[in-house]
Amino acid sequence: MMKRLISAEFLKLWLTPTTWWIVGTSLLLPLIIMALIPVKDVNTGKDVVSLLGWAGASGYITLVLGAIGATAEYRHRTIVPTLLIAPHRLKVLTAQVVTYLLVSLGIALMSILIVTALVAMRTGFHGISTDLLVNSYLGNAVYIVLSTLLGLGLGTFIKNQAATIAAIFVLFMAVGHIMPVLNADLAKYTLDSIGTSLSGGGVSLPKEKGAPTVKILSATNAGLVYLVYAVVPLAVGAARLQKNDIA
Amino acid sequence: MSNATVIKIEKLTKRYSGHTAVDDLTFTAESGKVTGFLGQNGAGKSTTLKALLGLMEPTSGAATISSKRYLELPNPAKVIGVLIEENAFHPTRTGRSHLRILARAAGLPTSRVDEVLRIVELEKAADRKVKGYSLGMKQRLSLAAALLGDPKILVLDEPANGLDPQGMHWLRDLLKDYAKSGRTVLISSHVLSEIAQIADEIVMIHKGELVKQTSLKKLLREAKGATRISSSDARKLAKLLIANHLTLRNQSSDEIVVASEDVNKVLAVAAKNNIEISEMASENNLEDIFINLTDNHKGSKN
Repeated sequence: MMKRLISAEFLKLWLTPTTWWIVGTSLLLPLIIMALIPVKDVNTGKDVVSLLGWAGASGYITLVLGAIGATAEYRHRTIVPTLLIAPHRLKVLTAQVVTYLLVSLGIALMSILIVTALVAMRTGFHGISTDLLVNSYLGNAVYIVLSTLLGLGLGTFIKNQAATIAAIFVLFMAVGHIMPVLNADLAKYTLDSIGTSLSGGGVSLPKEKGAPTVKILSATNAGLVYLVYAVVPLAVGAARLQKNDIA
Repeated sequence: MSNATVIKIEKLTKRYSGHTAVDDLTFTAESGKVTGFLGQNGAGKSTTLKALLGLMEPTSGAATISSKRYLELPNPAKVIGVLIEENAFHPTRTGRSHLRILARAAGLPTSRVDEVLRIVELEKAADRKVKGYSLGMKQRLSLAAALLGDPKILVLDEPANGLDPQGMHWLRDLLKDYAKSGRTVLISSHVLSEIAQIADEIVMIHKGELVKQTSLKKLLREAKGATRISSSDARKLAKLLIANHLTLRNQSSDEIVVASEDVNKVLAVAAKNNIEISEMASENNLEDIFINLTDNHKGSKN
């Protein structure tokens, strides 16, 4: 049953043109950034990690992929035929989550490959240690996968597509700016800081000279916090899906 | 062939924040028959069907398919085919893609997609995006989805919406053949003339309550013999007829309904009192019966 549902979710993505636009954009974004940014002063392994971190930029787009995937079922009412074929709602949601995680993992791998190739061409690796390289790759992959999960969670919770996209902007723009104002210690929990922690610097825009330094979480802690960000709306959305009528 | 009860709605009630959409509703649908589920818009038909199909949780009561709740069916698509939303498609997917996804989720072979596309006569448009489909084509695609699992039961909510006369004819034949082969068809509609041509059994509901469940033949037989008589003096005529011990089935300011066997007496009373009759019509169509029954139902509630 679960295998059938996951297979059907893959087919849904495969057969929807929007998916291809989003996947294409998610791969193009780090490619364009890497092609355009200046790469002066890249002398150490840490500098290389910072460049490799731009692979995480795909996470912004996979966030939208998750949000659109979850809300499209409600927007186009395809949730009705889906639940008529598979009436166990949590199984349907689980299949959707598994599918999107696998797809985003594929996007993460491709994105990392693209950025790695561009780094190799433009700056070289400057003797980066294997540990640093593996951590960078893992961090970027986790960031992209969890971003997809966050989008899926928000979409499942909110259901309305426009409202979900608006919520993403609020989370990044408003909440991300309000949290440090409320308490400087909260700055490390903003999505922007979490992105920096996981990717090694790439997904955050460079700070202006003289701007206060923000302490960031370790990559592991950042991953756990981001997991909470993603799982909470997903869990609430799952509870609503299970309980509410499909009117 | 014996007709077994396949769909059973038992004391079903659905309330939303203070509003009762379905109230203690009980009816059945049997195999080998087309059961017409009739009611005006907002009567509670779709709510009842959604409760049957596990899309809504009833406030009380039960709705079962072969004694099982929809959730308990192992692979619903192979048991019951459903058309309940006429526009539940992703607009940028093709008709074939829509069916392929459903077939994959139900564990059906892709070859079945081609078969149902052939049945609903949508092969030529199968590879076009659904956003370019007419309402009738979308309805055929919904029917194709319902037929995917070659189910023994069909539940269709307003299936004729958007179909042209040829499409209606095709749908009637399809559903009649389906029932003839011993399968069960429950079809809801507010277009009574459409149901009159297809149903064996009729379930009428009004404001969420059962008005009547009976066979179409019996219903038409019971109602046959009623005549609608129009007159500008209908009120005066009604009073005179009552004074002459005649029973009126219904009356308003410009018409009365009487048993056909009383028509000669009515004409005699009218002639004697110089009351002009403007029109007489035999009342034996489903629409009139429905209106009478729901009016009586409202009356009995007040």
